Amino acid sequence: MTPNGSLLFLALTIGDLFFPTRFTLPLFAAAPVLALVLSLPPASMYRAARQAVVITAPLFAFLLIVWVIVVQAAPVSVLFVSSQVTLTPIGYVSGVASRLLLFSLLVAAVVQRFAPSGVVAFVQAISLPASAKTLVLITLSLRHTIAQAAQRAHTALVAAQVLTARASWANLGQGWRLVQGVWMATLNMSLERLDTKWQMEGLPEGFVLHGAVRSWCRADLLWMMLPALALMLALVFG
Amino acid sequence: MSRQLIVLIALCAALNVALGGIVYLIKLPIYLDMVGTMLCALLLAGQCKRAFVAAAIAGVLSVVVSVVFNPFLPWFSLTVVTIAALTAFATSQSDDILRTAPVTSVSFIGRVVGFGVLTGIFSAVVSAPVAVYLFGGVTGSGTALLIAFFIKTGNHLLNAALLTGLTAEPIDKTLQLLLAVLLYRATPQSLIERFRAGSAT
Repeated sequence: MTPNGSLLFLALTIGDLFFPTRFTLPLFAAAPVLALVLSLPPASMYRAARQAVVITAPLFAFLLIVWVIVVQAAPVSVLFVSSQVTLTPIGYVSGVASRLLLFSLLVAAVVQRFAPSGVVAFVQAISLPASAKTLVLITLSLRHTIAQAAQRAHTALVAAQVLTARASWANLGQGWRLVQGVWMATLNMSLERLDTKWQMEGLPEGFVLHGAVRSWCRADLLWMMLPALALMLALVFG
Repeated sequence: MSRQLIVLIALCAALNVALGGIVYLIKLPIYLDMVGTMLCALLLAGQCKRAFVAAAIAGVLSVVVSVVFNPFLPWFSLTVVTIAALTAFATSQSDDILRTAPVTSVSFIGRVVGFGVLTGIFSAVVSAPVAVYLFGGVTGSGTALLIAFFIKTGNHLLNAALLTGLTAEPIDKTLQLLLAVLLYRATPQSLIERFRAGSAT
């Protein structure tokens, strides 16, 4: 599957996941998600599953507390279940949680599928205007720059006893100094790069345009058939 | 799109993403995920439409980039666009006072609180339907208990989600706006003019 194919597959499967049916659980939409997960190597499959569970578990816990323990009833308006169906609280929670879990699993599986080639190669390959790809790549690069600047500034401010390593009132009052220091450092660094380094090296536009790869492949079409088939089944039986 | 504008948008989007890490470092119980969006609109104050477009792109880009860590964020893209619009068309009209008035003056505090609360209200209104129809009213934070309380007191789910948002969002957005304004004040005028000139080309 190509990066373009994966984004279209993602969009179609998300449409399936939230398509209203009379079933509480997303029976048909689960198939394309599971097919993608099963196509991954075991280590990637494990990482995708673990990430999806870690993200969804707190939501599931809160849903249980609110609807099953406190309210003890299901709401009337639910986007993904047809209006004729009356839900029990546990049915409602399982419907919401299973969709959110499958959604997280789908995103994590796509991320894992392209993880070996890296995010830069992924962005290079997607069919977007060069300026949009440049924007994404600079953002990803600056995110790391800011994170590193924050680590350095934090260490300095803790050493100067302006901030503390643990949660404190001082951090609440003085934390903005850290953010300000990081902002100024990153701002100056980026403008410096823009004026000198990037101009000399023809970056980042040259780098974005450099990655000539296939936009689509035949396997994309096969992958696309899965969510399309799931939608047809939902229309016929749902 | 000029290179200066691309760098400004990318910087603000990256700031949105990275501030989550900074909050973790200083262990504060707040979210600072929209500071970059607000800052982008403030830095281009005086060019409302451009400020809105740039801030909206920065906000949406930050939620898209964050999808690896939190796949649910892109669902709130409309909230991001709303915050960008409010900051560009309303808050940045008080650009002079926000930049030059003393931080302790009534005019400064009044504007930060007023626009922060307004942004929080709009943000709550736009986010509520997403929280209800997609997440079953629960978005995985401590506000889940608030929503349970409002439902127990006889409110419909959408009303409960709205009331929950109206309780939490104004405080959060006021703090975020305050931080964005402090960063705006710290940015040298020469750099701001450079970005504004870059966005006008």
